[in-house]
Amino acid sequence: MKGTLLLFAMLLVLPVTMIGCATSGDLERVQADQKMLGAKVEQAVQDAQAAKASADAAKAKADDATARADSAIKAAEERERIADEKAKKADATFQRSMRK
Amino acid sequence: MDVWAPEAGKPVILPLSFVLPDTPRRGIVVNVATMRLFQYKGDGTSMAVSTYPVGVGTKERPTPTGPARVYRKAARPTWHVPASIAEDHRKKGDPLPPEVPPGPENPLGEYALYLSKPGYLIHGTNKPASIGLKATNGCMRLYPENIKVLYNDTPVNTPVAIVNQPYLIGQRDGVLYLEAHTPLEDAGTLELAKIYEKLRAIEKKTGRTLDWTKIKKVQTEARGIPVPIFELRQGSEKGVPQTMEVRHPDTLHGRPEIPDLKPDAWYVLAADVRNELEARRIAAIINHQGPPIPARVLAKGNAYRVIAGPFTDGSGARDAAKRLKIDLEIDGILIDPARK
Repeated sequence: MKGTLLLFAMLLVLPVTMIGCATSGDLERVQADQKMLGAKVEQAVQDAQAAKASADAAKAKADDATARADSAIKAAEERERIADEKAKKADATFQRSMRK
Repeated sequence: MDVWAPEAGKPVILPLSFVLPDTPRRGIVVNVATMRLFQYKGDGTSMAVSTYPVGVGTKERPTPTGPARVYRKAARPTWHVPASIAEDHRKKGDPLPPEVPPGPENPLGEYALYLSKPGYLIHGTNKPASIGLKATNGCMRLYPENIKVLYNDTPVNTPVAIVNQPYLIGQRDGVLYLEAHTPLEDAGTLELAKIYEKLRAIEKKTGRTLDWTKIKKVQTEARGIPVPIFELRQGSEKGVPQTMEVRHPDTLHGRPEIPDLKPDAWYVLAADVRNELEARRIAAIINHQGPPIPARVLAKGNAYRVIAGPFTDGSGARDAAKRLKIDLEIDGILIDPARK
């Protein structure tokens, strides 16, 4: 009886210890995996942020160039308008000067 | 094209033919819409036509249309200043005497044909650049060289017809031409309707359809030159004269002469600008005043100065400065020869 109980306890203890050993190993692996994944995520986030910052900088540069080009076009149109006005004014003055 | 500073190499089209106005062909006919005078001499197959450009009345004081005749004529006429013109001059600080004797200050020039419409003349000018402009007080001005010929060739009592016809159709050698000009303010619609009626009558008579798209194009472009629009006699369009290219002449008749610079003369600084085109325009306008005021552009760095002169003395320079102020609203600065 005692022997049977001992055997049964041994039988019980053995699987329990076997379950406990499998879980810690896995846990370590999982923890290692999680740590690696975390590092990858962190890197990916950093990469994405860097890419966004670069894209934002490029857009800002392009917007600035567009604004400067628009400004130059407007300035040229204004100069042309002023030149046309001066020409018309000169013609009108000349017409008046041709009267008696 | 900028008429004062045309771009080098730009072609200019000069019309060599003109459609005659729709009037009886006798005496003198002036078409104010095309700013052109026609003189008919002889009749039938021996008729000869001469034509000259004219300056006509302003919008405020237009040249009146209708029949008239040459009432009298005068060489070296005295100008009796009308009250309205005297008042205009007084207002701008340039009072005129009641009469202006013959000479370079006389706006009638060297010859005048007085019309039976009181106050209206066909005369010469001391402002040749005004020909082709609406700048008179109703009279018709001709270039000095043209009025001389017309005057000598026109007896008193010659009939004169003044018309306003911006659209003209005529035919030569079996080809129908349309000549279109920009109408004066009030005549366009009515005159266009008259011409369209004539063209529809031609369609009916010939039994053939005109190219109305082409007609509309000629009318809206209003280039002032006769354009072939229809063959009255089929195959005749092959004989239409082509545009001929002429070389720019070495000398231009009537071009203002600009004397050489003289270190001991007086000058007037008329403008100091940063734009060369603007400077050339101002100098050209000053050169074409009547009587002419010589002017040129002197460049220094990126500044362009318009200098009027040379004048032999301060009085001449001051007179020029006064004229620049009154006629062109230019505040000139006198430059005397003693200035360093």
